[in-house]
Formats: sequence, C-alpha cells, structure tokens
Amino acid sequence: MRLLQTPTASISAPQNKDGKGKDMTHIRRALAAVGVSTAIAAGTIAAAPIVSASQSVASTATQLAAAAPRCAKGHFCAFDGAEYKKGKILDSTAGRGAQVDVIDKRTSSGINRTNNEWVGVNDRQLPLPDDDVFKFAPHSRHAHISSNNTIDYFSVR
Amino acid sequence: MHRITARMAIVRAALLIMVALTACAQPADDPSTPSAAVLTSLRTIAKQPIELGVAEAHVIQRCLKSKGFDVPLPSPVVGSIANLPLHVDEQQAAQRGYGDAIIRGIDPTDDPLDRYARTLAPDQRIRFEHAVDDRTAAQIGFTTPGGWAVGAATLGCAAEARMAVYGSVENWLIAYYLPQDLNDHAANVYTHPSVSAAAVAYYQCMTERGNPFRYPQDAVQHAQQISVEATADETPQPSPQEILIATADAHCQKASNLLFVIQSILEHDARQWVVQNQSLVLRAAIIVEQARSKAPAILLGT
Repeated sequence: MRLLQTPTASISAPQNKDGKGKDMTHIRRALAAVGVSTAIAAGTIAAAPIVSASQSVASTATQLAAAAPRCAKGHFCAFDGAEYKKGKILDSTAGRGAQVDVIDKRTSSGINRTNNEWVGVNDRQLPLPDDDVFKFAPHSRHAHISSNNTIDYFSVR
Repeated sequence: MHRITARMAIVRAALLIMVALTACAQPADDPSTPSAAVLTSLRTIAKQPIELGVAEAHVIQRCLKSKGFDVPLPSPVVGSIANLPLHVDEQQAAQRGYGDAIIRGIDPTDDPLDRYARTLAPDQRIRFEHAVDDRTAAQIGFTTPGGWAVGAATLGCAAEARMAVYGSVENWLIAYYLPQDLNDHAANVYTHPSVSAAAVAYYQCMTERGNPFRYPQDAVQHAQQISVEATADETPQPSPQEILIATADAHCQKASNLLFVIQSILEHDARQWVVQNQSLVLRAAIIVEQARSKAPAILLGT
C-alpha cells in the first residue's frame, strides 16, 4: 500500500471542474454530484477463478492469472496498475449523475460492483467533446485497461 | 406488434449470418478495406438497441423476484462504441423526446436496485447483493484485440440475464466490450475538418432553435439534467422542454449531416482494426441480432 501525494478520490465539483465555465456544451459537468465514499488502500486478494473467453471465433476457455483485490459490493474501485496492482486510487459509491474525480491519467484497471455504468472520461479542451475512454459495465471487472491511461474522471450513468 | 418485431429480428439475424458466412468465404478485393458485410456488422454493434438492455433488466427483475426480492426494474445498459452521438428520429422525438435514452423516475440519480437494497435489513441486504452478482462463482474473461481485459461472474441474476438475452456471459462480454476498442477512434474523429464543419452547421442550426449545443451528446446531457431536476412521478413523461430539444436535435442532425460524416470518418479511420478483427466483429453482430430476436419474447415474459 502506498499513500498518494494528491487527493486520490473525491467528488468533482458539479461544474467548472476545469474552469471551462457554464457553457451549455459542458452541461455534462453540471449534473449534481451525490454521495461518494473514498478509500485509499491496496486491495486484498479475492479467490474467484477467472476463465478466459478466446478472442477467436471458436472460443477456447483458458485460465487467466489475475485475481481481483477486494472491492466491496456496491462500490466502484480503480487501480493505479494493470491487474489491480499498485494502489487503489478510487473506491466510491457515488450514484448516477455523479462525476467523480480521480488522479489524472493513472487508472489502469478497475472493478465495478455497482448497478450503474461507470464511464472513464478523458477531459478534453473545447471545442472537442470529452472523450469517453472506457465504459465499465455494472458487475464486471477489468484487469487491464488499454488506451494509455487517459482517464481524468468518472461519470456515473 | 412484438411478434412482428421478433419476426423481423429473426430475419435480420438469419440474413446477417448468411452475410457473415459469405464474407468469411470471400475476402474483400482490397485487403485493407472492410467488406460491406463487415461494415454492416460494425454498424450493428456500434449502437446497440436499448431494448436489449431493457430485456436484460426484466430478466434481472424476474430472477430477483423469484428469490423473494420485490425489486423495481433495473436501469438498462447496452454496448456501443462510446463518443458517437445518439441518432434521433424527428417523429419519435416529437412523441417521446429522447425516450429510454434518458433515465427517469422518482429520483433519477438513485439507482432502483440501490434504493430497494437500502430498505432491507443488513442480513437480507447481503443475501440480496449476492443474488444480484455472485462473485464466489467462476468468472468468464474476454480480452479485446485492443487489450481491454474484462470479466464477469457466471452466477447471480445479472449473469442469468446476460445468458438469457445474449446466450452466454461470454457473448455479453463480446457484445458489450468489443465495440469499445474503437472508443478512441470515435473520439478522434471530432478533430477531422469535415466533422468540425458539420459540427459547426449543427451548432448554428441548434442555436437558431434556441438550443446552443455544439454536439448532440450535449443536448442529451442537458435533457438528462432536466429530467434529474424535474419533480417526477413514478412514470414521468418527457417534459415539453425535452421534446423541444430532442426535435431540434433530430432536425439539426439531419440538416447538418453530422452523424453520417462522423460514421464515414470513423469507418475510414478504423478500417485497419476492422479488417484485422472481422471475424470477431461478425460474431459480435450475430450475438446482437440474435439477442434482438429474443428480446420481444423476454419483454412479454414468455
């Protein structure tokens, strides 16, 4: 476990997160944030085995090495490293409509144990719309996130 | 109505399978260009119908009720390539606003299952959460060609619903996560000059109608906020303001040709990925079409 030097998880301001103002094109940032609980802790190992579905059309199941660290039911957790390694940088129960800040461009894996879709977003400058980097489905886990760690915040949908 | 929809979906699925088989047997003349069949499949998985998520939600609800939990209908979720605008039909927008694309209810920010779970005693709540998603069970994993390694449990009502609608949890992982390999490509199309030009035309059109949104996704977000702020009853209808935004959005999408331009640029920019992964794209499209053919019966509870 390592403590991070910057606040690792918090509710993002419901508006003007990056000083873009209240332009209607960024109304996405104005949705009300709701309760978020956070924790900075390295995970412990859970025992559920994983079977991999092959990328090929003929699927052949193989064992994956990754095992998930603990992320409580009803929580969304993000990790600094792939396969839940390094520190847990977000542990949140934020509800739908919330925008939850996380250390910029560090999320490499995650576990979604909520009933909501958590979307990792890359904060881009106007006039470009923000980039939905990755959508984490409810009740799923993500041992490795590609796309070079571009997530700046999460949008709960 | 449902029967006609189901029959059409079955025919679509059969056609898609035929097209897929043909595409596999006869590669495109230009190996760097996806065949028409593969592009059709890509479009099928790029924006999956919300009905699939609604069907999945109904199975989750029935499954939990069978275990003694009288839950409301969960929120629907479906796979898609992120960063693509929602296509809005003008006639539908005039009647239903953004329809199921907007989350509604007493408190749209409060997930229906979370709201229900809070009413349970602690021991019951643990049993309920276990019934939704049994993480002690084996997990199925899938790694997309782009390197997204994802997994989900094979037991619990969420898994049961995924199996009922998509055939298996593995199929659901493919349908939901494969399109996300193109999220980056979709995000990058907005820097293309022809998309910028179409977006300017869209913005001007929307501004003329009193809704100065730069992109359709901003209009949807604003409509969602209206729904969040509204004092809603159990089955709220779209507000007059949402109807106005949605109809303007539909009109301006058509007038600016924005969605067509975005789709064209995306298909061009992503062609190498599409060609390299055409078998998987075809498979995902078949999964989606087969799910679409099942959805009406699932919604009817048969």
